[in-house]
Amino acid sequence: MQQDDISKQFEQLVKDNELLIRKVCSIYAFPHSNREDLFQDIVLQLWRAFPGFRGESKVSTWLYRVAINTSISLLRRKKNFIQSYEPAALPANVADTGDTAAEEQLHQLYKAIERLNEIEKAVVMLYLEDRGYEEMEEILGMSQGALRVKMNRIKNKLKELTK
Amino acid sequence: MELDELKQGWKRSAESMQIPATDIQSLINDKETGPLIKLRNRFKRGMIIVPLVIAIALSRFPHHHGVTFIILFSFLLVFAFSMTGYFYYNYKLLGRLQTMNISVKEHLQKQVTTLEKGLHFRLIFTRGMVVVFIALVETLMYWGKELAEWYAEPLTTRLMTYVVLFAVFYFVTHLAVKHRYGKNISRLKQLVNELD
Repeated sequence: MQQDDISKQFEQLVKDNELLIRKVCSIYAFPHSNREDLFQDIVLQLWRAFPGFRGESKVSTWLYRVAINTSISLLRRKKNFIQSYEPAALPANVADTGDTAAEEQLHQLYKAIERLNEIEKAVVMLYLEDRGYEEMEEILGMSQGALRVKMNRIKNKLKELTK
Repeated sequence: MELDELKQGWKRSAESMQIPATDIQSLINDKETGPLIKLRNRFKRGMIIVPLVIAIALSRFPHHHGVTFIILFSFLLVFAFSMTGYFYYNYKLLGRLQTMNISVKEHLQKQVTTLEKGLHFRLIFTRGMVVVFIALVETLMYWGKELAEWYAEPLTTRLMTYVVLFAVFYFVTHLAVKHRYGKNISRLKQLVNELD
């Protein structure tokens, strides 16, 4: 296949899955300007890994792996990415339910998620994305049993944090 | 509010997310993008520039020169080869870190191993340079008849000074590395443990 075709194929793949990548960025990087940097870095890492992608795993699994690994690596390198403890640095459009009380609760929950570590954030995000434990295991490299235990711990931690 | 109740809000916020237009083609064609790639390119440039500078220097120096010049130049060559080796090693290490298509646990384990290896190599390199410097001073004095005042000191005094100098340097580099990278490595190890 020509290089041009490969890059077009890749561009289409990114466009089809842009929301997935943006969601990873929104959970890991703050403020917005950093999210764009992270997005670009993830796309670049995906491009580098693209020739090696044989379709042995689901596209989403492959995308999540690269996106989460890139995010964690970048967070370690650029300390200013970790500004997630600031309430002002919450994701935009946190909720638009029209119900102020529910909105406030959601806001609190998002704030609590911001205080989780990189692994816990990944687990929560995959859970919110309705990914099965099998796929989560493939992405994170953690056994399903350990994942279930972790999920319960995170839920309890979030409850504590939102009290 | 429970985490399960957040699912709807999460989906809604994702649907209303404003996605800025990104030119994917120009992004993937820009080879300098990304901190890892930039750092790797810096090492690559180092690998090319150092031997190039030495080659230019060799071609420009006169053919007849004294003992001091030969000694200094030999050490410069050793230093240049070591620097090139250092750049190459770091270049290879960073290349290993760029493999992202593996599970998060594997990636973190790889990062820990690579960082520890890199630090070990860096410590050996910098400490080795101190030994090279000491050897250079002694060789210059013995063969080149330089630094006469220092050469007049008894051998035991000189040796003791070198030992103290090396010990201080050893301690300082140990502290500097621990301060700069130790926290990061232990944090990464902590994350790996969380995935067990």
